[in-house]
Amino acid sequence: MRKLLLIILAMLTLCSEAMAIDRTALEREVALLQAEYDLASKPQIYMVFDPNNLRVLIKCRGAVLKEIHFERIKQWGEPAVGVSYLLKESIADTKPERKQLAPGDAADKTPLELDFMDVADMPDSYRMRFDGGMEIYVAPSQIHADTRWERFKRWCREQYKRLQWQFTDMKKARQEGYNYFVRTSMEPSDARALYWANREGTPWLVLP
Amino acid sequence: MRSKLLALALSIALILGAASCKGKEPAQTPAPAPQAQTEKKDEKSKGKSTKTKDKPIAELTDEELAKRAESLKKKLAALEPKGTYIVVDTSRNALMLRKDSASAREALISSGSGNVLTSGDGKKQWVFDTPRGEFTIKSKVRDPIWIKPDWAFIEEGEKIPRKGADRSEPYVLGEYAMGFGDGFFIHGTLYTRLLGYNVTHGCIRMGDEDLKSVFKEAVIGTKLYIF
Repeated sequence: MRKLLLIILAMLTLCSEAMAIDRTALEREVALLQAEYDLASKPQIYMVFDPNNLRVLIKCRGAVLKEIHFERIKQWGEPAVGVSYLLKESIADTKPERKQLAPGDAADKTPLELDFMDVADMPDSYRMRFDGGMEIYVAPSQIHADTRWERFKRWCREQYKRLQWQFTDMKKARQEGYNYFVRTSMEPSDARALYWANREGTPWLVLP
Repeated sequence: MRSKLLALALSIALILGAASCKGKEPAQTPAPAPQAQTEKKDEKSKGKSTKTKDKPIAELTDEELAKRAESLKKKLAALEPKGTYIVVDTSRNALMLRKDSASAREALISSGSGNVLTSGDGKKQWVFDTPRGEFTIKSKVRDPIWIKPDWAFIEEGEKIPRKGADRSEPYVLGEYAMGFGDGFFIHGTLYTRLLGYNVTHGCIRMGDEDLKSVFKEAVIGTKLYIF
């Protein structure tokens, strides 16, 4: 009889635990769906960051336009569920600059001679800071350089930047109210494409 | 005696189970919705009847939550583009023609250079970016004629003509053009070797065959997504 009672009690406890977990999952799902619906209701490009599957989706009106993959992700803190983070600024060592043209500059010149801004001019190592308390650090997973020495110098620089971000910048950001930090590494071409696709004010939704 | 004890234990267990279900706070409750939305909801909830859709998530029953999730999924699916639509990836200079989410054709394009032109007096400025976001094909033209805007003359260091006729330039836009608002077009080009580069003033240039195919598939109202 005691055994039966114990089994019933255990089953009831497990059942209640499961129900609470289901409820939490459902609440999260509704919050996320609501947030995405709010974003998709407008004619804008938005990002859905899915750290568990190492990817970010570029979306519009609920449709996936492109998927960009990360190689590694490390997180500190928890993202707010169902809240869209707005990109406030991207910080890089060298920011791509638009070429300024004066009247007559295009005369007798081909468009290639005029120069232009393309994805190759984008940085592959940068920080993205968002309104709402999220910061994403993007680093290249490989370093391409013409010589070994150049590659070594760049590698040292990347390591220094990473440590500086982790031990100094993150601390400062916490004091400013940031509470969710993500360090990522990805193919340099993907890092540049991500930078290119994100302009100030681009909304990001984070899947927990 | 045993059966009484068993009944008592069972009822206690049931009460405890129910209490733990109700009282259990989720490990991570969803963060509150943005301020503006919350205010709107508050205003609505001041009304006589409190509808389920106005209730905050935490106040919904499990059944209501499940219903809301289903309803949101349907609403989100309804927003997704149906049929034929166009996706432009300016980072790769690629245009994808999609039919019900499946890629039907991919083409190399040229998109905006990102350059900035300032007029001689410094009063006007043009940024040669291809706009981003959702657009609609608003016009379709065969054998289009380019009506050159002011910047085209300024860039070349030429005088801006007074007569409208002096602005028209045939053949440079290829055989077809599709307008998507604010003077932006998907059109052909004489400079096919520049496809794949960001060299335009904001328009999207395509090669002849790809342009012909997209022109055939797209109708007025076809959605265009540029990122």
